[in-house]
Amino acid sequence: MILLSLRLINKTFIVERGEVHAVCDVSLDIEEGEFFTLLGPSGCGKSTTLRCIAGLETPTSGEISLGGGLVYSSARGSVVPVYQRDIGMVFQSYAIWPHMNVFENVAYPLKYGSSNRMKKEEIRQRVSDSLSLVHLEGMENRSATLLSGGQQQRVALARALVRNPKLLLLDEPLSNLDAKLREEMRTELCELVHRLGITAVYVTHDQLEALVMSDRIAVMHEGRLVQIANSHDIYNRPVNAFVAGFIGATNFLDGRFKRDSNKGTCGVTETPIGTLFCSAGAEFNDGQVVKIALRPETIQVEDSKDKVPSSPGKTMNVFEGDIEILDFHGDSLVIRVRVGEELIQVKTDPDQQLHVGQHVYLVVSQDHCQAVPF
Amino acid sequence: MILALLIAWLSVRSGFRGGWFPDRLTMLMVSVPGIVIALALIFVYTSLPLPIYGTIWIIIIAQITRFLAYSNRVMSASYLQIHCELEEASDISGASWWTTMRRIVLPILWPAFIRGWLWVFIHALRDVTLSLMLFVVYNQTIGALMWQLWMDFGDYGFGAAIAVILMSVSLGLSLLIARPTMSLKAAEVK
Repeated sequence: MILLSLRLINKTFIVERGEVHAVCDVSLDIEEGEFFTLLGPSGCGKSTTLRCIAGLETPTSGEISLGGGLVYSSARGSVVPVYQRDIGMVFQSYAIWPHMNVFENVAYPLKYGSSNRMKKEEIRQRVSDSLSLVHLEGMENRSATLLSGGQQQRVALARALVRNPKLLLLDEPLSNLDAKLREEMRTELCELVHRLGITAVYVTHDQLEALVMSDRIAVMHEGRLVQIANSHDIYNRPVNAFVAGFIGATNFLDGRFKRDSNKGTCGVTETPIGTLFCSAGAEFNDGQVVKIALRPETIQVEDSKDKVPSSPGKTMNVFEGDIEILDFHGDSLVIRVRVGEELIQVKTDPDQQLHVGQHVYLVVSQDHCQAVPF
Repeated sequence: MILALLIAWLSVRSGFRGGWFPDRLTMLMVSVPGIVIALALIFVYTSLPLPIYGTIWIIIIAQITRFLAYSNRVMSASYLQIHCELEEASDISGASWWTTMRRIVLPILWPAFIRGWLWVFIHALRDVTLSLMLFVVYNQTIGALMWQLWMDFGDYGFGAAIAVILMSVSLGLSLLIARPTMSLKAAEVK
């Protein structure tokens, strides 16, 4: 069942010098129980889209429906105000109220929310349930100003969940945490959301967070949706060079495409470093100018031609060059190899014995050479 | 001060077109001398069918008019420091605008609110100009009383005694304003 749907949402901000079109014709449907991520660089309109869903911003045009009911429609001129929408939200700054303790912060939606008045005992019970979900049992009386960043994050989450909302909105909730805590919270948040079966819309600019946590990802660029797909397809089948470049490191090679008539999704491309076997969607035409996206970790490095593996059934591309730069990352070795005019980045096994200036052979299968529109 | 808070909200947060207008309007008052305000009030309220001329209310209105600019500056400056997500979190929690104001904004602004109030109170307390113009027998203020004792009755002793009391009250309150925030909060909670 579709819980949330956006139809042709537009949002224009009026600034001193003219207008900024922050969100352009965004349409999407989010299933109940889905973990949906809006991903993109800063200023791409992802936060504005989220704020429109929450009701903190009113779109310039379009339609939003939540749980079957229309909450915004420009055609009918109707807006359900933010406090009447059944949602929980975690903000980037956590927005923990400094003049209240943990209990008062979490109990606030129950006490002052527009829903029916609750008995004190019930409020106490639900706050304590909510706090135990985020592993803050017994912290009720702690002052909000004495909490660490991670704890504030947890309180904000408990507060968002305490009313059992239909929809949970998360606006870059992990970006203010240090790297280690971020990883912990990422796992925990993901597990919690799936366990509760709650529908979540998550906004982030961190591609790793998006790939790890999401059921589906919507990549946004300059106010528009570029691609909606699951993590695997976003990573391996990017629809254009922007998505390929934004999600993970990528080598790009310019080329002219020619379809292999025997195999539907295969073709060859003339590139500056020779002819490449690549995979491509049905939309590409013979002679079309394309970019080939090559992930650094899909490329294999061999020090002599004899070692190049011949795997039956797979078409391999092989090219040779000299190592120009070599960076040891601990868990990997990142090298840049000069092949003709191009510098190809490769991520490889750190135990491999390589040195700058070495002549190497790069091997990459056809599946990993993805053609994207120029 | 409540009016000042509303005006601060209008100009800082509401996002209404023209929300800045009342804020600028209060600033105009700074440039107008007290006597002019008093005269203006006399003209306005004697011609309006509002029976406040000659009561304490006209003096209160005069003081509000005059000090709104100051109290509004204090409230706007403090309001600007509140992260807007604090209010949005309350909206999301299902609280109405009024609840957000009462439960979130006002408590956070409370120290500034109290200081602003004390500041205005001290200034209003020792005011002479406005009161002198507006007072009749029934709505005498301390400032006006002192003036009368001094100028009309020549009762310097009584006048000086009141002045000493007034000064000690003002001094006490001024020191209270100057105290660090934490102890001020503690003093209010008691």
